Amino acid sequence: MNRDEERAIEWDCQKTMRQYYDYVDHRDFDSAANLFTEDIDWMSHGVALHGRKELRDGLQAALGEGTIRHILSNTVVNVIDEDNAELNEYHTLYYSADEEYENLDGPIAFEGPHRIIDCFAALRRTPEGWRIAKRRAPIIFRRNPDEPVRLETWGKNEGKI
Amino acid sequence: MLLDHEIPRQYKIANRSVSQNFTPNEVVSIVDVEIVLTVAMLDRLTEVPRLGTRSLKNSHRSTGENIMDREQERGIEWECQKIMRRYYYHVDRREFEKAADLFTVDVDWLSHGVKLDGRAQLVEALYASLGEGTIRHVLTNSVVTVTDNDHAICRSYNTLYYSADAEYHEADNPLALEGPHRLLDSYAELTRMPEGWRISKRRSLLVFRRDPDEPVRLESWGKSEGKVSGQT
Repeated sequence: MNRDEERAIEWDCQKTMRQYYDYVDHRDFDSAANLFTEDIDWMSHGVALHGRKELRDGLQAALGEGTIRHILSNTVVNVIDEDNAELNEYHTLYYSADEEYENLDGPIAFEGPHRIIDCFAALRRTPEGWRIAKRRAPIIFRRNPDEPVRLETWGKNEGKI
Repeated sequence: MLLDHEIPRQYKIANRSVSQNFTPNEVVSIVDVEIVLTVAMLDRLTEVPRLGTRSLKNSHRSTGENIMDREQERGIEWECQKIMRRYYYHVDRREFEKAADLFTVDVDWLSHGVKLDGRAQLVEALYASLGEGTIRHVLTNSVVTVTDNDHAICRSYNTLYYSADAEYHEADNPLALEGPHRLLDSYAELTRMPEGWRISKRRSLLVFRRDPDEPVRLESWGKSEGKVSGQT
């Protein structure tokens, strides 16, 4: 593999991640889940999910209400081979648990980011394009750490912690 | 890109894919389309879309076929992201004419409920809204969807840091910061023009905002000029 081919993979993997958060932040959970491999190994906020079906359920439960925006930055893609890559980036999350932006006449009042996350993703080339095969997302900074977000509450109720 | 040794290449011509190993001066005859090209000529042809010129694009049109490959799409994605970033570079530094030149002459622009039509209105609004104070648009999450050789859509997030009154270039110290002032979903349509990719339509939706009841200059100006559309 030459550097041009590596750059193309880096570009495409970044696009898959950005596309995923564009879908998920706008509640298009089916399109979002389709950017993962069928056997996705997903863990975030202490909640472990396996496969697209569980992921789809988790997304609906966590983000079907409220408003979230994942701001992606500092993305570094390491190409392992022609079909595998790893990606690290930071996520700055803006979040309201109760207000839906699409049902309001104006913006939601905010005071700043709700949390900052170190994101790791392993991506795999599939016939459909690059897909996320594994995801980890430890929380580094968090506003109101004692107030669980919906994903944590759902994960606890479903025994997925 | 010039070849200096044997490199495997894949070229698509008139919807045909030809994958071979070529040397730079080798003559390649493609009988089906009745053309004879050297590898160097083929290379220049494949580079045209990445440079944003119109010549190859027109030949695509003449066949009525879309033969864009992923490499060409990546080239368009890169160019469109660059236009968006360059726009905010200029606008945040009050280079409003340069900023407006990155739009089509008939741009259809809507932000903060203010509707503008054409570059002249846009320049006027930029002076009115950002001629004072300090702003930084932190543009992230850009996803470019290539519609065809001449059209693309770019969706991004815009995190705005803003002071209505303080001028950073007149201050001895950095401006006080409490955090972002607002966060917007940004949508732009881009069109390939002879001078390069330009923004032909822009929409932005305010999602989060500090002090929602305090209008920013653009909103006050839009209201006084009768340019408020009712959409946010």
